Amino acid sequence: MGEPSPSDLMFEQRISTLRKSISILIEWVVFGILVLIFYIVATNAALNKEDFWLNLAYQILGIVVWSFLFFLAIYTFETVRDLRYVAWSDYRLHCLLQLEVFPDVQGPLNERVMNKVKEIYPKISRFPAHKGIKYDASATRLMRERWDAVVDLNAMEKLDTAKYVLVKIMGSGEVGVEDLKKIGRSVLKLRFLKPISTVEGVFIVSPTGFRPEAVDLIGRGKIWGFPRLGTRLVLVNDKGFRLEM
Amino acid sequence: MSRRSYAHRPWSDELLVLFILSQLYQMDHRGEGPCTVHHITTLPGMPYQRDERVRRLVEMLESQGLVNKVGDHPYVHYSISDAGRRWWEEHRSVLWLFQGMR
Repeated sequence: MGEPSPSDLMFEQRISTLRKSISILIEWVVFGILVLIFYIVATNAALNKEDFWLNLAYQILGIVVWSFLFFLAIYTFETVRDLRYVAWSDYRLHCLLQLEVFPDVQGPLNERVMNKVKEIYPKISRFPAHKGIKYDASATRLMRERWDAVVDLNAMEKLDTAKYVLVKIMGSGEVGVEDLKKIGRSVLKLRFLKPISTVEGVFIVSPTGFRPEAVDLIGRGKIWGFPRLGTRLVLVNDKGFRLEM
Repeated sequence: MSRRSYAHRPWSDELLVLFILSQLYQMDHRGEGPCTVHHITTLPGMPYQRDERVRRLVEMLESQGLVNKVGDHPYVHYSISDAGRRWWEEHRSVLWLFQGMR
């Protein structure tokens, strides 16, 4: 047939998830039986020896309650984790479309980049002048690292916390692992200096390109300091933008 | 805290662009020729049926080189270009998630 539709892809995803779930389920059943035996033996000594049936009722009640809490904890964790992944994919797709598909205005490089950042976070466009956004500045007074733009998404809403979006336009030459490590250290320093704030996104823009090993390390979250889900490596040239990661 | 309702929120340009690209890709895959904007808006599953908005988006895609334009006004037809096909094949593995995006 032709192109697989989104629902087909979703179905395949569900089937593979089902296969994995069944094999995991068998392991957990075996483990659960062992835990059950251990629980019965361990609690038997502590309970009243005279009434066997009362003991058993208490033990079964305990098993039901604890297993309910156990599975509740597991499924809560998994649901939250999957939602995080879905949110990340959605955000990445949003960035991809805004950068690669939607057109950009002609002009100086920093203006083009900032236009794209404003399209990705439309809230920035509604800020009044000189509020929440600094150009060619450091994130705080204590830091030496210069960013092409430092945006605070919480500027109009909260006084006590900041939600940073940092933009760095690199010079000529391929961006390697060492450059990214240097930037990551300064982001980490910012996160330590302002522990109440969060770094929502870091945009590293290069007109030349990124080394593949650098892209790989960022993708696997192996460089310290960068937010795991919000780091975007962007290649820019006269034709337009390309999202490397 | 106010709850945001989805009822009165318009469909985003992003979702429409993804739908248009997927439909044009499938038409190309089936070997069908270029089609009009009105044909795209009347396809089943299209969330928005105003020709003006869809035309604006298709022309935007054409300016980006993802879509080819054939003919002249009022006999304009559109089909997916090589660049658009490559873009779709590169990124379609994550696109099943766009069902949740508005």
